[in-house]
Amino acid sequence: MQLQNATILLVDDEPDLLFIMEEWFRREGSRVLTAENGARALEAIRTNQVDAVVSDIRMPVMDGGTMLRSIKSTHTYKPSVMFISCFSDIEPREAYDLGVEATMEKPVERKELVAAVRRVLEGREEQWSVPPSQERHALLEAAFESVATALREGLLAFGRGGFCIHSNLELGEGPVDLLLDFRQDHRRVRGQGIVRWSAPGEAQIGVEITHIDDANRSWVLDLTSSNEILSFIPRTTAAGITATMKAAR
Amino acid sequence: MLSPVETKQGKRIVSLIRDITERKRMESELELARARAVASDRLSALGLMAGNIAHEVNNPLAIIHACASDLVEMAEAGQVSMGALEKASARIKLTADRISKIVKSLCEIAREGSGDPIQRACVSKIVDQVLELCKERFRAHSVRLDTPRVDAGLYIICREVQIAQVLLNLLQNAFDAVVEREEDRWVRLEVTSDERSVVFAVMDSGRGVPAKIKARIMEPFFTTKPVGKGTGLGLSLSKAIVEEHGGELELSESETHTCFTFSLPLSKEADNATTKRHHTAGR
Repeated sequence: MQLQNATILLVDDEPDLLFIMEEWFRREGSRVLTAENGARALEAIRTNQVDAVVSDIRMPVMDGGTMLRSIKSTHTYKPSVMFISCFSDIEPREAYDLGVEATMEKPVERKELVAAVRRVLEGREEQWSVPPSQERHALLEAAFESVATALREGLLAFGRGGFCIHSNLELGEGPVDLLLDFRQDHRRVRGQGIVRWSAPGEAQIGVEITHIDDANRSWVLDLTSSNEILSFIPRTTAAGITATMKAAR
Repeated sequence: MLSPVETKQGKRIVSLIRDITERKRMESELELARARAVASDRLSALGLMAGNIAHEVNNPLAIIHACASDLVEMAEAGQVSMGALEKASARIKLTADRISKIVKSLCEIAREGSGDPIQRACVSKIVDQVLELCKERFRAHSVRLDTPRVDAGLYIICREVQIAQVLLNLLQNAFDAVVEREEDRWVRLEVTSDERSVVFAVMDSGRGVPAKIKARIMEPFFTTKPVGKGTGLGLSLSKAIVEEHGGELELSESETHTCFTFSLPLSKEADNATTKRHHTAGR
């Protein structure tokens, strides 16, 4: 979806900031709605077709996390959500698991914010079709018997925009080249992603996918959209824990 | 120890010498440990406060950053209108003032303060400073903070920084006591005065202090907070500070609400010039 056809909901308890960001998106031709807290945002989502929500986290009445859980659990449609946070308001692992598609820290640059919203409005297929960067990054390489066994044995879990992998590789946050081999499926997936978080003590790494090779793109898209988990990147590959979290939502 | 003793041979002096090196060493180690614990508690309280202040400062910073970036973009495009320039500059100035107020309060309250002279201090200035540093935390977590309208001419005799630290500690404890409640979350600060003293009261809507720990809550190192959340020194230090000022920190409970109160001597000096000066400095 193009920014000029989109309805953007901005949520922040700071009126000046809300006013400034509203101007930014109006200039892009978007229809802009504003809300001063999570509860007001939910009302706006109920009565409008919102395409993307850009929200602060710490707010009176209802914070961003509670708002997001409510959007994901009670509404028939699910707008893309990105958080503008302040320092340690929320751990990236937690935010992506809740379903956030992007996070930025205050103060934000207008151009960066607009670009990030433009990106979350794009379809996944469109995003992943963009030619990969030629720069070499750290390699995240893993081989599995099949995708079914990897999921069943808690080695891999897909979210809507990426995956969590059980791995002892020491990868810092940042771009990564992907090479995932699923032998029985005869799939050797090449792509690129961004390590959004890693928990070495638990051998868990959270990766957002940014590119998948042409031959495997639809296959991976099916994997990421067929799961019932609403996470953008699941917080764990442990099947049991994921199921419990799903039930808790 | 020397003591004269009468013997057949005449008066004798019995001298008894006890080596107390070990005792002195232990006493000094204890004192060192206590000082370290106090310092650690101050650091932990400051850390907590720093987190809130980072938040409090970051929002206005984001506004200033956004306004300034807009102006830069307009200049680069050669499209700066006087109206837009005036509006953005005014917003930047107002927002910078907001940060400056917070930083000023932080600088004043974060000092050690125990060596300060005891002197006249304006109550409303102390209360304003403390509220400046904690109101964001209350607001962001939807905890209602009822604050008093303090008579600007009300003065007490105290070490200003220390009393502000006591008030901040009581407000933070009250916040911790109510923040996890599903509803009815409030904290109330009251300031009342009579001819001799000023009474500060901090009340909250929490479940109250359980009877079995009431007697212990002001003991050093006693805490019910999770590991890493509190050292158990806040209340005991507050109690010591209030007592050094000739007051008493007390816990009273009406039905379900917890209420900590302390009183300090009222300053009746009719030095209007000083009063005026102090008052203005606090605004």
